[in-house]
Parts: sequence; structure tokens; C-alpha cells
Amino acid sequence: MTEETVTKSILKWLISNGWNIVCFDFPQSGTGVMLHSNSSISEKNKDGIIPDIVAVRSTNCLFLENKDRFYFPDYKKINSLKNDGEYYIAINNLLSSYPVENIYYGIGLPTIKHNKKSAESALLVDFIVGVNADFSISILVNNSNINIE
Amino acid sequence: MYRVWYSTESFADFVINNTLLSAETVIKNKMYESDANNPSRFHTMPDHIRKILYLDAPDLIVEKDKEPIFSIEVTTEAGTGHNAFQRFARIAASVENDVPAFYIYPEGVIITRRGCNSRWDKINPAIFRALESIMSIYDIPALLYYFPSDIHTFPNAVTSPNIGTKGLKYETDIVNYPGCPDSTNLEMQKMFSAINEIITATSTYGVIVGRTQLLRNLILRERRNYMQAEYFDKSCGRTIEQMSPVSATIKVPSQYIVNYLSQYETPTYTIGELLNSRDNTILYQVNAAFRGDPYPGALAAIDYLLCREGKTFEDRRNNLILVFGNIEVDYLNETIVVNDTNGSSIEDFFSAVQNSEQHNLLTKDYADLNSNTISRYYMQVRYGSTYSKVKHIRVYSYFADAVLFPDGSLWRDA
Repeated sequence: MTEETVTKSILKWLISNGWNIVCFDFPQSGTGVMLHSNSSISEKNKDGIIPDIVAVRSTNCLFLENKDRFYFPDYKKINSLKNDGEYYIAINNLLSSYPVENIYYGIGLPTIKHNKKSAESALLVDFIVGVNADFSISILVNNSNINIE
Repeated sequence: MYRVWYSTESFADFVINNTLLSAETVIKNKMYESDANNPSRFHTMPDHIRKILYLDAPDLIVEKDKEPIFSIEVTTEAGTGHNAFQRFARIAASVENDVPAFYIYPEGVIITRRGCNSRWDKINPAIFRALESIMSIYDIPALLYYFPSDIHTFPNAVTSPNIGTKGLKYETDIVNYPGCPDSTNLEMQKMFSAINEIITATSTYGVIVGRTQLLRNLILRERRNYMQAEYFDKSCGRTIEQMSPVSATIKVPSQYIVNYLSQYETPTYTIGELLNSRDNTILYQVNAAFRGDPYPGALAAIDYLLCREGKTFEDRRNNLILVFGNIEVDYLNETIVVNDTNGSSIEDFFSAVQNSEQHNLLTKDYADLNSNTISRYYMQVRYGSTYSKVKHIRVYSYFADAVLFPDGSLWRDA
């Protein structure tokens, strides 16, 4: 299962559950929105991040990093986004037209790749969603009791 | 039977479902771009596809009965200056293998810089001239269609309803076609129509014969004419020499280059005859640290704009030389000087080559190879490091007769 398939499956699931897609990205899609860090002077790619999915429903917002496998740096990246506030200016700009009060940060991956390491790293993120073999979605971790579905 | 090689499956579906391919039996396969970035999979690509991928990989290749019939490159980047040519090597790779190429490029993209109002960055019209040149040489279509945008309906960028996507109009069905251009847009409809003409022609006459007749096709000719008109409309009286990347070139007598390279001659070695066989040399001057994009594509375009007269790099009227540094022409001594302005060094080139070589298998013993690497080894035995060097090294060494740095040079003898 490719990262493209993971992202598309999650997009479909989020839309069917009433989420508005603010932006999305997968390799070579060219669709992503780059967020620059608060301290970034230039608008070049250095230090920029492109979230794989940003979705909003009511006052809640989801940020997702997706991969076709377990990839620990994504868990660290999500944890950094969640706790460090390094990108809050860019995130606030991105979400300026939405009444967002809560932002939750999570991971998307094939369900079969949610292995022991992924489970051990789950505390770093708010949630993990898995794409099943039939492209349906399972919520594998929901540390913040988010009402996603 | 048709096979679609894709970099994103959504774009493959977009093309299949909007063209005559939707009524055909089509197999979709993921395309692995090079041995450099997909070492575990690239060698599984068929040889006829690898040839197209040699310089750079397009986003989509469609083949019929194992013969490629067209390729598509799509980009959403702003096409100002050199950037319009960033993907040109992909177009060249396709057309040089007699495969028609489609290039989807925005006419304009909204750029927002801090402290400034948003504005449209418009396409560099020189791209049309370069595509016309490559079509003239190969008699194979290389057609550009605009990525749908608000540039005409909202010339004031700030008012564009799609400012969040830089003024570009995407498919609204993001479940099935995420990231694809709006298929209802007239430009995309025209591209689908041209693709259908290619499918029909190659089905009717066979792929090889069908491809050679395409530039006589009325619909494709109309597009070619439109592109020429766009070049003249958008150039606003400027000559090609006043536009990037040609504006970054200098033409000198080839003797100046031979004189410059004579510093490398020894009692037992003299510079070969190639460079001196052409009267003049085009120097493409890159005042930047040694790197790739957008320069590989720009170099390829300069070849077609200013040097090529035939189908191989041997068929050039002018030599083509890439220079990382600032050139001073010394008319008195009939030579050139390459000054260092951005710290580019021949060592950068060698480092890039050495890094690529680290991933090669040719120094391994049989016992070192796993079953899944034997096929890759065997490909490398045949092709050496042809596909395993990084893209900009592949493109530079293919197109440039010489590459000059302030502290060293590379050149072809023949």
C-alpha cells in the first residue's frame, strides 16, 4: 500500500464523516501547503513542513502525517508540532477562516504496519489511524478521545 | 493492451477516465524513476521505459503493446525565468525516444511574499520556443497545455477565489483525483482531445507509423500554432536572447575554449577534435553554487534553442558548455577566464558522482549479492552507472560538451 493510497483512503473517510479538507499532500501530488517556522525569515523550503492532511470539523482540526510504513521521525515531528509551537503562526494563518479551538495531531499508516514500535511510540501523538486492506479505516490510537467519526 | 506507468495513481486514473483509454484494457503500474532514488525497484522497469527515464522521469507514460505512445509531465510551479525549464529534460527524454510529450504548466501562479500583495507569476514564453525547436528536430509532438487557473477571470490575484491553491483550479473530487487539474477546463478538454488523436492514430496505423504522422494531424497542428502564437503574444517584443535562460549565455569562438582548455594539455595529450570542429561555442553561465534544478532542464532547453540541428548531441552547430562561475572573455588573448563568485568547485561535481557510485554493486562478489539484487547487478553490468547517478549529473554529462568550474574542467574529446 503506497503513501498515496493511505492518504486517499483517509481523505475519503474524513469527508464521509463530515470533515472539511483544508489541504493535503502525498508524494509528487504537488498539492501541499508549506508551513514555515515562526523564526523563518525567507520563504524558501528550508525548515518548512508540508502536512499530509489538515481537516476541520466544527471547532476541531486534525493534522496528519501519513506513510506507507512505521516511520518514527514522523512521530517525533508530530510530537514537536503538538508541543513546541514552532509553526503556530503559519498554522494560525492556514486556519484563519475556520473557528478552530482544538488541534489534534496524528499519524496515518497501513493498519498492518501498526506494529509494536508504532504502539510504543503512540504516546507521542494524539491519534493513529490505520488503513485496512479493504481501504476502510480503523482508529488504532485515540489518546485525546477525539470525536473523529 | 495499454499499460500506464505513473508516479501518482490518481493522475493515471484522471487521464484514463477522461480519454479513449477508458474503453480499453489498461494495466496500471507504478513507475520507479531511477536507480539512484529507487535502487530496489528501478531494475524491474522494462528496458524501453528505462530509456525514457534516462534523463529524467515524466509523471506518466502510456504504452501500447510495449511501445510507448505518449508521456505527460504536470507541474504546478510558477514558470518564471529558469523555472519554466526545470522539467524540460523530461520532455526531451520522451521526444528523443520518439514518444510524444504533453506538458501541463500553469499560465500563471499566485505568489504571496511577506509584506507584499499577492500577484501572478507568469510563464516564461521562451518555453514555447524550446518546445517548438524540439518538435522541429524530432517531428514528434511536444505540446504544452495550461494548468487551469484564475489568471484570466481574476487578473487581480488578491480577488482569486482559489488563492489558497495559488490561483490553480483542481479537480473537486479529491477522493478519486486528488491533486489533478480541473478536467472540465477547456485546456484539459483540448489535451484529452489531442491524446485521443494519438490513441486513434497509433491504433489505426500502428505505434511506430502512427507516431510519425502525428504532427500532420489537424488537432495537434492547431495546438502547435497556438503555442507559437502564445510565444509571440507573451514575448512582448523581447527577443529570445533577452529571455531566460538564453540571457544567461555567451557566444564565443570555439578557439577561445580550446585555448582555455590548453592548460590541460601535456606533451602526450592534446584536446580532442570535437570542440574545435564547430566554429562557435555557447557558454551557459550559472552564477550559483553547484546544484541541480532548475539548471539541468535549462541546459537541455539551451541545447535545442541555440545548438542542436539534429537528433544527437553530435549534430550541433555550436558547442554547448556549462559554466559554474562568472565568465570573462579575454578577447586579446582569445580565451576566457572563469571567476569564482559562489564557491562552486569541480570537487562538488566529483562528490556527487562519488556519492552515487557508493550505491553501485559492480565491485561486489557474487557471494555478497542477495537474490533480489542479482538482477540489479546484471543491469549495472550492462549499463554501468548510467541510471544510478543523480539526475543533474546525468543531464549535465549528457548535454554539456564541457563543464567548467573556476578550479577545474571536464570536456569531451570526441
